[in-house]
Amino acid sequence: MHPKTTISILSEYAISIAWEETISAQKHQHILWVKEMLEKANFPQFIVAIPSYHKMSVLFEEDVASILDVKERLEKWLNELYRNIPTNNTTLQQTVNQQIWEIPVHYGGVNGPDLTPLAAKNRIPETEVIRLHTQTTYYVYMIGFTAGFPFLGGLNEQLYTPRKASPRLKVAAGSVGIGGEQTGVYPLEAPGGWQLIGKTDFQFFKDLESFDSVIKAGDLVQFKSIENQ
Amino acid sequence: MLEIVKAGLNTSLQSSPRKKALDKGISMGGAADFVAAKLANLLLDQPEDLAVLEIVSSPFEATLVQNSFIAFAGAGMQWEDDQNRVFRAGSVAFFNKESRLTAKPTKEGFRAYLGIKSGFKSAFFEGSFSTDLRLNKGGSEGLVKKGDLLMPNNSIQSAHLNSPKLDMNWHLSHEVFSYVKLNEVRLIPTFEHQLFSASEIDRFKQTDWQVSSQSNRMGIRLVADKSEPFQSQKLYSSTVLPGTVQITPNGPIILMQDAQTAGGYPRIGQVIEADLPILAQKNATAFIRFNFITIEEAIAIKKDQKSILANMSQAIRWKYADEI
Repeated sequence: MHPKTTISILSEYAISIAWEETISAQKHQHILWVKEMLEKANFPQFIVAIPSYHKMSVLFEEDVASILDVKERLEKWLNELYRNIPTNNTTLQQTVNQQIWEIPVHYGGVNGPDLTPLAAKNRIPETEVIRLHTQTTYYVYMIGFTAGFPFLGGLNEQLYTPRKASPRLKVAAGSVGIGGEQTGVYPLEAPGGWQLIGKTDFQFFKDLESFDSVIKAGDLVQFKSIENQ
Repeated sequence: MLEIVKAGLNTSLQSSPRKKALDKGISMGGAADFVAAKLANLLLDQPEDLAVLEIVSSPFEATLVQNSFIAFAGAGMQWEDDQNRVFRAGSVAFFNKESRLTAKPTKEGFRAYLGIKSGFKSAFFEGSFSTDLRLNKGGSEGLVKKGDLLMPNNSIQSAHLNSPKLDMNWHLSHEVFSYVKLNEVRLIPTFEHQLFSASEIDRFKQTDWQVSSQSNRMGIRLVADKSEPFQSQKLYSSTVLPGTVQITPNGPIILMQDAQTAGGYPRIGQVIEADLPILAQKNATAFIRFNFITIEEAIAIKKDQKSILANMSQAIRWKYADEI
C-alpha cells in the first residue's frame, strides 16, 4: 500500500499535503524524498516545498492556473509518483548526508525560566528534566518558525508540556524550548509560546549573509548540559 | 533622494514578498498593504513592485536632497511640505531640492506609502527587495533611521515614454483607499477548521474582535470584552502564511507579512489575500469581524482586485499621455 495522503488548499497560492499523523523519522524521510521528487519535476508554477512533521506545504506562482487546478495536477502527480514505484522500493529512503549536531545547553535559572514550573507541572525533579532532555538523540523534522529554528521530534513523554496560553513577546536568541511534544531552539530573538528550559551559544547559521541553517531537516541533534563544567 | 529627519515608528522599504525562502524559515515579508504599495508605483507610471517606503502612522519628516517626483498612497498620515502644500493619498507631486516633507498621524488607517520615480534603491535578499526586519536583510536592511539617505534606483531607466509633469492637478478618487475603513475581513476555512466546535466557530464569527496594541507586521492579536478561552488543541507545527488565523487559548492571532513560517496553534482559516490590505490599515483598538467564504469566491475576488489595479494603471498612463 502506498502512503495515504490528504491534499488541501491553504490559500490562493499554497497547498498542503498531509500524510497520516503518526510521526517517525522513517516516514519523514519519505516526505523529504517526495519533496526532492517534486523539486526535480519541473512542476508548473512551483515555488517551494516546505516539509514539516507529517505534512508538506507547497507554494505556487499564481499567474496562470488557479490553485484549484494546481491542486488537481498535484494530486495526479502524486498518484503517478506512487504508482511508478514499488511500495517496497528503497528509494523511499532518501539517501541524505545525515549529520549529528551536539548542542551545549545551560539549563534553568535565567537561561531557562520555565524549567522550574515545567518540572513541577510534570511532577519530576529539575535534574530529571535535564537528564531526559539530554538523553535522546532528536530527529530534525523541519527548519522553520524563524530562520534556522530546528523542530525536533523524539521528546520523552514525561516532558510533554503545552505551549504557553499566551506567547511571550520576546524570546532571547539561543533559548531551548519545549512546545507540546516538540523541542527546539530559537536561533534568533522572536516572540514564542514554548516553555523555555535553557540557553545555548551554538552557531546556527553558516554565515550572517545567507542565514542558511547549518542544521538541515533529516539531521540529528543531541543536547548536552554544561552546568557542571 | 530623501534624507530622513524624523524616521517615525517602524519605517522600512518594502516591495514584493519573498516566497521561495520559506523553507529556510525566512518570513515572506513585503508591503503590508500591497494595494497601497503598488499604487505608490503605478501613480508614477512605473512597475508596481519597485521598493516603496512603508511608514506606520507616526510623526515623520524628510528633506529632499534632489528634485524628485513622489507619490502618496495608503492611509494614516497627513502629508504637507514647507510651502504649505497638502498631499492626499493617491496623488503625485514634484519636489524641489531642499524642500521639506512632513507627516503627522491621522485617526483613520495605519500605514502610508511613499513612492519615488524609479523606486527606492533597495538591497536584494533571497529573491526580494523587501526589508526582513528580523534578519535586517533586504530593502533598508533594518528600520529606516534618522539621517538615512534614501536614493532612487538609478539603474531603472525610465521604462515609459511619459514622465510626470511639474504641475499635475489630478489625483486618484478618495474611494480608492476606502477599504481602509472596512471592518469585515473574509477568510476561507482551511483543514484545521474542523477541529473547532460549531459553537466556537459561531463565537469566532459573531465577535467584534478588537486589535490589541501588541500587534505589528508579524501578527495582529485580537481581544474581546467577554472572551471565554478557546479549546486550543496541541498540534504538530506546520507552515503558516500571512493571513493565517491561529486560535490561541486567549484568542485569535492573524499572522501578517513578517510572521513566523511555522506554527502549532490550530488554524481556523486563512484570510483571503485581497483583504490583507484592510488588516494592514488597522491600528490598535480598531474592530474586526470575520466572514467565511469559499476558495472559489476568494479566487474571483482576487481576480477582480487585480483587474481594478490594472485598469487604474491604464487610466494613470492615459492621464500622463493627455498631459503631453
